[in-house]
Amino acid sequence: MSADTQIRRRGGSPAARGHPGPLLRLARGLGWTCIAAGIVVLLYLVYSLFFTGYQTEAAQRELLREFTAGIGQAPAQDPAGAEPSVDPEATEPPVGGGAPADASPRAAEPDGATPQPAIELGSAVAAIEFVRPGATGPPLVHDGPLLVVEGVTRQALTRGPGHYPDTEQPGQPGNFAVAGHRTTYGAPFFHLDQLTSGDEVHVTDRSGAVHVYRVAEQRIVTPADVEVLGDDPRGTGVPTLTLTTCHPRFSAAQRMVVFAELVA
Amino acid sequence: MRTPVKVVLLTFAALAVVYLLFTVVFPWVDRTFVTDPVMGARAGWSAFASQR
Repeated sequence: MSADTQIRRRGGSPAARGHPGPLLRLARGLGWTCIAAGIVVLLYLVYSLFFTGYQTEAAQRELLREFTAGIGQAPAQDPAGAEPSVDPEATEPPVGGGAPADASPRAAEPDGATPQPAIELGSAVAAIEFVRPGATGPPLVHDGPLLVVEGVTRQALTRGPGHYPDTEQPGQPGNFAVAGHRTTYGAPFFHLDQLTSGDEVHVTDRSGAVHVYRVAEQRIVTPADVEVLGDDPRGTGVPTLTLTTCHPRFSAAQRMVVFAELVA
Repeated sequence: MRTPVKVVLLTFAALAVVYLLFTVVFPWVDRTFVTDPVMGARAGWSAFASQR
């Protein structure tokens, strides 16, 4: 090869010399960034559609076993002097209009009645089923019973719908309020909008008693409208079941609230 | 650096990133922007939306 040819080969564009120019390097960097972003989005879809659902499904199976075995038995009491088990999430700031996120033992009842024993965070407090009287066909809202756990912390809600700790127990006077995910974590309330007036929600409590609530109203509210968790949110004086979930689907901007009244 | 060592380190780093995504980042994205069934505004988009 002549010296003249070697000199000519060293010239020309940077790319031709084997060193990409700044524009090419920028394009290559953008390309890799897009590929990485695409992988993250795909991973998020896997997480959202499968991973969280798998977690909740396993937890619901376990809860169903525990709940069925414990029906009719007195709620487990902590040994005297023993510290109740503490969920790390219980230390997070309270949500739900100031309702404490933990399930610490309630103070003695003002009228001197025996205080209710504490229910451990994340343990099953009730099973709910949705029924449309006289109707056959696909299941309403959810296929099979949903186990409601105590607490509405992030951790508790990964196991299933959660009972707001400051509201009443099922069948009691006042408001039994439950929050459930509409998307992710098994999406127990994905079809909550299917409920219309007259539909029934059958709630089995820990003693095995079944309480029938009839759907009375559905509302869309802002997250700050915490009065729906009050003792008598509809002002009817009837024991109420309140179900809350996010609205619209795949958004946390609003809440869908369904009220049902105790009929049996 | 020898290629096998590099592959092992890169695999380890990728797994660590995926673990962090699944345990920290995605749950935060979910509760902040996508799904939050609990009454009472939390920090994030829902709080912003409720103030509009």
